[in-house]
Amino acid sequence: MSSVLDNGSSPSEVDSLDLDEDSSPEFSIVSELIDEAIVSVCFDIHRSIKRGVYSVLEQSDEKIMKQFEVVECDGLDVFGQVPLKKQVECICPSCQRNMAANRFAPHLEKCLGMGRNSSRLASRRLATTGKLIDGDDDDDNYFDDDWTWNSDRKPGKKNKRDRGNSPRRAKAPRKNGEAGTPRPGTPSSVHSGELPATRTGLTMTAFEPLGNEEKKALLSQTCGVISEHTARMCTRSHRCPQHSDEQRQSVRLLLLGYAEVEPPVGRLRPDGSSLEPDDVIDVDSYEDGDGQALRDTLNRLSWEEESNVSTGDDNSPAAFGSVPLVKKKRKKKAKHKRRPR
Amino acid sequence: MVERIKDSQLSASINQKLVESGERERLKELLRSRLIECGWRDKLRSHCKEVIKQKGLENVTVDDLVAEITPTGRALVPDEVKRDMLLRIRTFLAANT
Repeated sequence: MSSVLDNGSSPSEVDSLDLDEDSSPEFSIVSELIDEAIVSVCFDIHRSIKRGVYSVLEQSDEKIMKQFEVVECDGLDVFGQVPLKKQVECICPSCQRNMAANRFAPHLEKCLGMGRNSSRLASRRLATTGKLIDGDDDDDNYFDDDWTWNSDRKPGKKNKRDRGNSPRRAKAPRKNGEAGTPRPGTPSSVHSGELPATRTGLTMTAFEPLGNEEKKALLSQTCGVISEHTARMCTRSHRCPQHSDEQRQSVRLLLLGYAEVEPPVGRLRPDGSSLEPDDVIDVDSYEDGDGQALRDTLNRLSWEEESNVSTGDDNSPAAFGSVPLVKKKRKKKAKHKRRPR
Repeated sequence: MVERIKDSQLSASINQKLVESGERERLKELLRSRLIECGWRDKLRSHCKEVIKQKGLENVTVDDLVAEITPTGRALVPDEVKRDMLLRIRTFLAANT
């Protein structure tokens, strides 16, 4: 026991030991011990070979480790693979559409009908189509419905207009006469004076109380098409892509009160904005009726807007609250009409 | 001749003493840990690996390994370790005789 503790013997004694003398019995014992250690190592290795562990533990070190070496190349990850920029895609459980993961949450919100807008859209879509619609975006559907709503109304107009082609000629002189006022003032002022613009069929309760000037301003700035779903007016600009010019015009016709009869004559110039090809046609037809082409054309150009108003009055006088006023005006116009002839 | 016999007798008696006292086992364990510490074992193993490569994994026997490795194994043992072992044996003998 003490010998173990004695290992710290003086360095001089250790140095004095001569390792080269094989003769000493102590050294033979040391070499015996060393040999035993060597043999034990050999046994270990041989055993692992025979058990099949060796190839895994030792040889695999070289072969397999090369296989799993960390690759250090530009543009490759540590496995030597090119990193893919593939976007993760999700499939909507509701409509089975495939979409990028970052678009999934917004889509799902709409598709499943969370939130105010989409729930309405979704339920309406389910109710109307009776099945899930694939392929189209929600906005598209929204737009489609708006479109159909308008196109429902359009055919009638168009038919009227087509039918109106022949009457127009007959009407033209009368129009001319009625709207004969050389400078009736700006259209807006005339309308604001006479037309209450109160229509019954539409849900524009918020819009109605406004003054005519305000309405004009509003309509001159915004698209104004009334959505079927929200019953509100589109607040985007005139170039809003969701609604067509026809829709805008028809809405203006409705809102400003001289609408429903407008289509036969021409669905244009709801706010007296500008002349369009249809005017030319009118002029032509008028020209046929009378001989004074140039003068009348010029004349017409000046008060073209008014003609629309007057025809509107003619066809649906009951629609306006102040019929007597309108009639007065018509008489006035009639006077003016005779003058150019 | 006589000296050798004497030596072998002496070493046998010493060995017996070491074994009886259990000191031999202790020394053996100490040597093992010393050799592992100084990296001798790893060197020997890598040498074994080379031998096995030459002979082929299936053809290796224990005898071959021992014969091939013993010389290098002996040479690789650091003198320090050898000296330390020798010293321990001597101090043991000095304490027990």
